[in-house]
Amino acid sequence: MIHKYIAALPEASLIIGLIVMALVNLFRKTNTPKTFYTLSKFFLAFSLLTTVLFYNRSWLPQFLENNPYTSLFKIIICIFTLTWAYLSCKWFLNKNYPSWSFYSLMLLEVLLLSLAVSSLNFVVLVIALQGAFLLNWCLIRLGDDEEKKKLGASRRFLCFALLFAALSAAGAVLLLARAGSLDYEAVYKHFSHVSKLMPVDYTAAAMMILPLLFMLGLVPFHFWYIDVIGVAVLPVGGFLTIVPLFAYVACLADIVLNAFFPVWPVFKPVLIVFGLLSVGFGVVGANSETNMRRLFGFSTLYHLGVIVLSLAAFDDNSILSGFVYMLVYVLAMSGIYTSFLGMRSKGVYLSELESVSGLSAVRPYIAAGFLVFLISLISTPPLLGFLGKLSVVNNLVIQGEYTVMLFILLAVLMLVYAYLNVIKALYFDARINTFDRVDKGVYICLTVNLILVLISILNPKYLMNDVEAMLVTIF
Amino acid sequence: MIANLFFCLIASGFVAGAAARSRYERLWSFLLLAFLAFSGFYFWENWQQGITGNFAFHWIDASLMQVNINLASNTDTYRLTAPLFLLAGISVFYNTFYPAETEKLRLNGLLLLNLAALILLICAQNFMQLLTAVCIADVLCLFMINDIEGKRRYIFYNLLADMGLFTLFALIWKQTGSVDLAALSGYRRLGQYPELSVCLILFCAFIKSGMFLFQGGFLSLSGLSFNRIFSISYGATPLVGILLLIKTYPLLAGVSYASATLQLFGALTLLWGFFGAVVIDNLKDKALYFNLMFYALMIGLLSLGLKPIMQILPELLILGYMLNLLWMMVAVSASNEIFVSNMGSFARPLKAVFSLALLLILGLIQFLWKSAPLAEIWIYAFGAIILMACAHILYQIFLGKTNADEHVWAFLKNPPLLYLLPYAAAAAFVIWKNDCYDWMVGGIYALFLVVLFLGPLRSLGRLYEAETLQEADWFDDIYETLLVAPVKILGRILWLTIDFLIIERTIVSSLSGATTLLVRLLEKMHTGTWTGSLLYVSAGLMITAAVVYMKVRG
Amino acid sequence: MTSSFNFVSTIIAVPFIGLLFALAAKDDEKTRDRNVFNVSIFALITNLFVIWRMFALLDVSKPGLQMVERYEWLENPKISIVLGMDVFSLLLILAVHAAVLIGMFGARHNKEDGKSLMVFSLMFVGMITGFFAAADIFSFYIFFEAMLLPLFMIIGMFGGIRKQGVLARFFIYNLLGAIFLFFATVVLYNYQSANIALNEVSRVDLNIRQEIFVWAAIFISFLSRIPIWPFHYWISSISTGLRNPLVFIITNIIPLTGVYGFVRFWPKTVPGVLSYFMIILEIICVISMVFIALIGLINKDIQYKIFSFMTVGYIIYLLAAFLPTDMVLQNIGYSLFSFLIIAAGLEVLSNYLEKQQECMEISSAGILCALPRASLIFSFFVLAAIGMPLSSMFLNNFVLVADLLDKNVKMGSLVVFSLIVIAAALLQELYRLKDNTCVLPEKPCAADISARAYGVLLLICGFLLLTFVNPLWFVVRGGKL
Repeated sequence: MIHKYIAALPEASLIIGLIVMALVNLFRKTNTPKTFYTLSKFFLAFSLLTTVLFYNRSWLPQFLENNPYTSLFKIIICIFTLTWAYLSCKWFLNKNYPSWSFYSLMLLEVLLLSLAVSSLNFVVLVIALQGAFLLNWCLIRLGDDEEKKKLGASRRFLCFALLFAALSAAGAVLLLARAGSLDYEAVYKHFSHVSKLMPVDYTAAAMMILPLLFMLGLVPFHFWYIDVIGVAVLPVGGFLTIVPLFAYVACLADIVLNAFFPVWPVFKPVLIVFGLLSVGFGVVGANSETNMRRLFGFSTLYHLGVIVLSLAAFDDNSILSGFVYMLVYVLAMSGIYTSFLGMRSKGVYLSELESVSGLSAVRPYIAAGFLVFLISLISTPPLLGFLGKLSVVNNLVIQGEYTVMLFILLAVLMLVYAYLNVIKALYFDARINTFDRVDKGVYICLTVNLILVLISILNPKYLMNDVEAMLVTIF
Repeated sequence: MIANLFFCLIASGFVAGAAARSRYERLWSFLLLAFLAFSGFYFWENWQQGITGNFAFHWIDASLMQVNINLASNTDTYRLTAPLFLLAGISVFYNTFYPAETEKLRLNGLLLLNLAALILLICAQNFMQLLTAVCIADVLCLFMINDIEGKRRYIFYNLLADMGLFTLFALIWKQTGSVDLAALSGYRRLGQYPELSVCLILFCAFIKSGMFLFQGGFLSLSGLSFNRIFSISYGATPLVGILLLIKTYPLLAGVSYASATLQLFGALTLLWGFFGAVVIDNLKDKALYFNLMFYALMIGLLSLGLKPIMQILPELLILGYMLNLLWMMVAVSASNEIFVSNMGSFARPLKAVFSLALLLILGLIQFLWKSAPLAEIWIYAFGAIILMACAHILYQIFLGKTNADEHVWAFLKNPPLLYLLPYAAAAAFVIWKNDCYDWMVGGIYALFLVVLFLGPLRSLGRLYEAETLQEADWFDDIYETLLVAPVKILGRILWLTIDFLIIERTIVSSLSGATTLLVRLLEKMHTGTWTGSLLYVSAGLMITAAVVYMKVRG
Repeated sequence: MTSSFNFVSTIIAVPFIGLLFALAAKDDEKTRDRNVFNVSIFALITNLFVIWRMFALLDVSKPGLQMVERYEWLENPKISIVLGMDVFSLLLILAVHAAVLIGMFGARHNKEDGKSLMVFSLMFVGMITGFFAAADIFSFYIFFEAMLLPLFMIIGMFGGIRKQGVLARFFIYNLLGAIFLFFATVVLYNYQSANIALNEVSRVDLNIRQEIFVWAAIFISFLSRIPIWPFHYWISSISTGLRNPLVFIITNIIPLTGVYGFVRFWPKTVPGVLSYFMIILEIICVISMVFIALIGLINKDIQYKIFSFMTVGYIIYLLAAFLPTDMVLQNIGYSLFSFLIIAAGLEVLSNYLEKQQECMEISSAGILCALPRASLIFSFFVLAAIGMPLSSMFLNNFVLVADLLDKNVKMGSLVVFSLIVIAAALLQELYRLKDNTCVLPEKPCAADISARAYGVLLLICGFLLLTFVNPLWFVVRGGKL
């Protein structure tokens, strides 16, 4: 009996972690920002360890399944959460701001995302995923500056998140009505066996897929992300950019392949249109921004667009290329956010382009790291980003999607223009600000990230080894 | 042998260059002279003993092209090298003793290197050696010219000539598959361009030798001192033009218009030379115009074949050179006065120079009379014109009414014996060498003396006062107006239209404008408002509905 | 001759190792970049020795690439990085090293952040060495694009470009070319389902549509690097603004990558579908050449004149690369070798003169009259540049022009015309600088080049002369060309 439920340890450790953190928050008076980081770190690490150990064991096989595919995503989610938790601690320490809310919400969100990734049933998926997504509302509200903009953005976020959650729930009800079950397998059978599908079938599928696209922040559902990224505090912005993406993509691939694949030819153009729009809006938007966080928010749209365009075919090559691109993108983005933590002047974290002018002269290492990740984001060899571009473009050529490929490749030129403005500010412009000392932790994380980037490009087999084999278990 | 001489010249040239501006510059110059004398003796002995030999250095040994550097010693090379060697020796001598020359050793070093380049040219049996020799001679000559305006004009003219040669040999090499000069004689097959090639070769040679229409580079040497003028005129680039025509004569011989062109340009240059010699006041310019006349004769002789020029070239060069020396001695004697209009009646104080001039003219007449059978019309025409010009100028300098100022008169005296004696020896040598005492020679000389003493052209002296005429640079102005200015205007128009108007103002501005428009549009759409968000959500839903509808409906 | 030592990867790695040392070098007020400079110079000189050793080991008579090294890089898609070397590539690597070395000496006393300049320069040298050593399409593309980063940083940080838009456009424009090459590379890879050797590209049997797309992409990518009309503008607008000799040299090495690309990719027998484009391309090349030469003539900026000289040279090499003969290749190599060194020398000297002119606070006209050493060296470089027999350019350009004339007399004539115009432009500048009619201050504070620098420059001149006398002197062993 015990051995059956031992596979629940990753989730259990997160739940226990949450309880412990709540108790500590309630009964311990001398908590520092580091307290909750230490606790969350411990439980996250334990969760990570157990996820690795029980990578193919499921404790609730009817609803949740662990296989190499899901475990891969869960491991990555845990690793990036751990890293970001460590870096966020620097922010909380610097601001001397209570970290309980952030770390507890983060742990809870990881738990829900982990459940969503493993789910085999739409009920679990909707609850876990929508729950995790709604948690973001709490995260967005974190911080002591209750300014009007932030309130407006969080309200809009909540309203539309609820709308899409409702849509998702309605979709689940429709699916249940049509397929008689909410298991992925049953839905798949329904769509593949019914000779003539009704509009309601398509509506149900759309109601399940669109909320995922909304969560991903694909254009035209991107507005929440751009709004939020501009107003949320740095730890939250970083977390939202880096962590949930893996879960959303994993879930999207999972439901498309295991539930909606028979109707996917109908929905594929939707994803392609959204992808193209994301690419286009992303590059134009990035050029309209002088706020770096929003600039990278728009650039995220471009990268998301590329990921979904690559995934659109949902075959083994697409999954692999999408995954590689996503991993590379997230690595670079985490580097960028790490660098943001090093851009501080008189205790204030800088985000305007003008304010970081001439950073390279005083903080050359931070500037160099930023440069490396920027170049990686535009996929220029020999940096890691190239690997992602190569995978995606190679996949698109195999699919015969030459136009899409050219669009992606040419759009990057416009994105580059925006990035060049950042490089200009960091390297070519004269300094106008004084910059605070950078925490050692930031340097450590940057170095680790850079080493990872270096090793990965010199010998990508390290990075890619077994990933392909793990990814194909989704089929 | 020629090869030994060649390498010795290079070595001594570099040594002289390295020793330039050293403490004992004059001593080094003497050593150089001694070396030249010794080499000359060695050269003379080898020539007289008829020692021949082949020297070939495998320069390029690729499958694409095999080029040997040939320095063969034979009668032809000895014959062509001998006067150049002699002239180089005289030049080194006068450079050493010419007080106005400030860089004696450097100039002498360059002269020796230049002589080596000319030997390379004379011995050339392939295009590459020929072209290399021509270009090296050009570069060395450029360094010999120490006047900025002269350098500028010289290099621009010669650049054109060298590029012409470059093109010509490149074309012939590809079409014949051989770099040997011997291939020129067969260059008239179908698909080849003998006419174009001859046109190019004549163009290049005319530029180098300063023929009519292309004399700008040559005449710009007037900014130099006398010693440099005659060193360059008879030992460097202008001579290269003639040697070039001699070496490529098989090509010229195969094209009908070549001879006529040579005659035409020779005649025009001769007339132009006469005109300039008579009309221009500056003695240096006059010297150059006289040199033009000599080169015109050489070109004219080439129109008749190789034989006439090969026979009289050495002496022609020496005579031309001596005429230059004469003008130099006049200027040196007259405190470096170079305007003939400021001279006159110098015969009495400069008896020795005047006597040497008369001796030289006698030698010239003898030489011309003796050579006349080779090319009667050309030699008669040249003789008549040059004697007329000489008589006129000698009259103005030595016999005519004087305009010299007091200073010139006060210091007017014969140049030192160091100048006079070698000159007298050379003049005597010419007379002895020609050994022609025909009554016609006497008659012509008498006629010359009559013209000299009567000065029938003395009224032309008024032209010296015409400033426009003296300072006119008609041909360069024409080239500037017809060729250079349009090219520059074209360049500016292209730059303005293509770079500025089309690219900067049209392409770049459009792209930049389009980007700005897109950015503004997006900013307007993305205002972070409820309406905007609703709009986006509705758009997303509608897109999905439309796409799904279209796909389902097929 | 085979060797167990990985020479090719060594010459790519040495600049990067130098870069790491340069990054670690102390550069405080006292040392004032001396350590970084020494480390960088040492790295390049070390590489020169390795290159010399490679020349000794190369069998010149053997066709194809030698010293081939292969690294299995990626499993899916399966990509191996293949590096190899032949005389042509090695010559270009040597020339680039020499040019950058000259540039480093020239930029030594610039009052800028020497460390970053040296670091990015070494990075660039490493990248471009890899580019010339690439033997397959993927590694070729990787280095083709990778060199843009150090280039952009060098220009941006040290180029003194005031208009930011110009710099960004320059980078984006080059990136556009790289993107097209990437497109072609991936398409070719998928068509063959394998990584393709560079010399095999023209033998890939594509259908007409693919052939047009792939070759058009290759055309655009390489043309984007060569300042050919109408794309010359961004390169020219950058080049004229650069006031650091090293930056100028590095920027103007970039067109070489385009020419090299054509040399490596271009089939000796042009497929039927391409012949039409070929004619158009040749016409554009010739028009660009004449156009840029003319602008060089009218432009009074010496930087532009040197840029024009380099552009005309590159276009000639490009036109020669299109000729259907392998023999021209070596000539391009030998000619380019001197060409780059001459251009680097000219740039370093002109920059030096500009500084002296600023010091004297006079116009630069006639400045050479006060600086006899600089005058001699500058004259030498200009004369060598215009094709006088002072470097291997003389002989090798003769072969190239001969082939161009043989192919098409009209085209050849225009090439010669451009050469004349650009030579006139350089001479015009030389005689402006030597114009002794211009008044110099009585006590000029301008200093002539130091005895040491003079010695080094004389050595370079001697080196160039040696390339004229025997272009193969540094090939120690091996057969005939």
